[in-house]
Amino acid sequence: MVFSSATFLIIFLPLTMVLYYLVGVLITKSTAVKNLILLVASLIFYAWGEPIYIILMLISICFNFVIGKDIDQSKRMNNRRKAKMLFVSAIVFNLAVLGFFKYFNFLLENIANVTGAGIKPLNLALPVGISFYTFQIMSYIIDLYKGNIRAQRRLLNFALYVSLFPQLIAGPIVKYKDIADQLMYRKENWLTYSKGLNRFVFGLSKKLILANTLGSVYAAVQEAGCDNMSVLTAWIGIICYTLQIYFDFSGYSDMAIGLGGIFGFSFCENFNYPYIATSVTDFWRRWHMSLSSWFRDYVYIPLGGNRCAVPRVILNLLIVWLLTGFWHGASWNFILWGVYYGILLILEKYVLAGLIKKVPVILKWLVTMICVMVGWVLFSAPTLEVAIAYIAAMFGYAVSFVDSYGVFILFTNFALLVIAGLCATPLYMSLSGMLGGKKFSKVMLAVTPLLFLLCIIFMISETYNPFLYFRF
Amino acid sequence: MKPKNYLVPELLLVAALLGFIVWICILNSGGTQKSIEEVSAPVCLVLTDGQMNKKTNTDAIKSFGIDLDKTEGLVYYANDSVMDVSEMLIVKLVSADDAQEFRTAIQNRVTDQENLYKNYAPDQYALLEDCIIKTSGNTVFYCTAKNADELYEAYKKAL
Repeated sequence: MVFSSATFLIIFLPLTMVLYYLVGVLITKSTAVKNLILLVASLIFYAWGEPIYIILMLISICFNFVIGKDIDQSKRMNNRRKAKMLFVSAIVFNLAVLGFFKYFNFLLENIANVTGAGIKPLNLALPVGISFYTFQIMSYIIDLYKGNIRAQRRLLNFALYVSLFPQLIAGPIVKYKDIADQLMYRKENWLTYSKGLNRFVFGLSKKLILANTLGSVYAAVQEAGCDNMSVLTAWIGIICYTLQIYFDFSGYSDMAIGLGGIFGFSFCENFNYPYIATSVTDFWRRWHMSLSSWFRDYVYIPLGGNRCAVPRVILNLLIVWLLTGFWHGASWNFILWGVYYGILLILEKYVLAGLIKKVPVILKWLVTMICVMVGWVLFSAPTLEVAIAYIAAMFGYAVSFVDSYGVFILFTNFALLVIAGLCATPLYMSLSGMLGGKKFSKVMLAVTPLLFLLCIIFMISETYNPFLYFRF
Repeated sequence: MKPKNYLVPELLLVAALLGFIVWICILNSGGTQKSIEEVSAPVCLVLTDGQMNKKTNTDAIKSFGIDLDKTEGLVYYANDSVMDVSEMLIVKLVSADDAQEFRTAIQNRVTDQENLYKNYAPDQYALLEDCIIKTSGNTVFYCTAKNADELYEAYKKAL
């Protein structure tokens, strides 16, 4: 089920909210009942469409819950050797699940390509959200082993942590230590509810009004093919995709955070206006922050982080970015995308640091955006060949600089690009500051229902359109 | 306090995972290397005269809102009458990863049709309720018809 579907908006969400507030908050006032309602709702949400993979998630939940208790017990009994063995087993289990369902086909394909052997692919569908929930589970196991948290004693709470529907299939990746207390005790009130609802509607409008409209422009550009593409068309296409992926993914994160607020949870932020970044390092501090902080805390720092000799730091950065790319998908495009960012970050850190300080901010921003957009070509292209052809078209290896199609899509989408561009900046926050808190709240009270109505109109007129990050 | 022994449940859950992997591999082994034409030809032979007519890919996009780029090919049949909901769609996907997306798109179409026919054509609504949506590796089969079971059997044999 997706947040931007009629089933979710008209049936699932209202029903879950009514049950949660009526039975959980008003009648029983019990966190256990509230958690049970959310768990059942989350399992239905996940099972919608492809119910078979719920078995995999439940096995994973049960195994990690049990082994988590075992690790905790071993640590309390000072049996470090056993705790270490259990920790390694849990990590191997989780990586094996992720590896088999996400990467095994990729491995088979590459073996077949290299050896020429007629190996048949497995044709297994990727379980939705497996990368997200496996990383959440691993954060629990790692923090437990490191002694940062105690084991969750109730299976219900642990199952809810893993499967909580707002963030289950496309993040943010919520670390257990950030949410453990909220699983045991949380207080819902009118403020968290209304803030959550507002945030949800804003996220929904980012997805339905902006991301999908921008996506249709990029799809049209892609359909035209790279062979006949002008430089102008290539740039308009990738600018549209750059904005589309931001509004799509940050829209989903807004909806997730908003839904969390409705049910009394407070999730970490996932975006902080990434397109105002003035360096690639800055961009990655603002983009998919929950994933970046996961890799920082659980891979980069354990590898030694910055506190090593320069060659070792470079190796650490390359490992982290290779893994970041690979996390996004079993494809050479994603691996190359990860390595591309690894190299850019190393260059910024060790080669261009002095130069960057002297360059005007606007130029830094422009260069950063060009680097980011080249990255998105690698990310979005179906194959490496298409990506290379598209990048070549962007940088002049095209039939012409300007063509009638490029001019046509520029003029027909100019207003959309300007509005989307402005919406990707903190202008909204500046407006809030200019109008003052109370006045702004009143304006928002009127704007939110209108936006929701607009979203419904867009939803009805559009075909099925899943989130871009669903495939991860 | 005596420490609890978690080894048995841990081993049982690892066994459950292995069992699930084997089961899902068997379940998805039905994916085919055949072309969409090879798969659909024997199924179309089961269609009765005038039951459904072949439609274009554009018709399929209009009806289901599917992304053609994610398919290796598709075959779509539907009845021309607005009073008949019979239709059949067979899709071969580029990647089995997209099967769920296609199933959801089909399910949305069925829900829309059910809402349309529920009150004024109960016989057609009953057909929609009994529709078949099946995934087999990289292929998706959908059929709403009186002889949907028969068509599905032909499809299974054709894979």
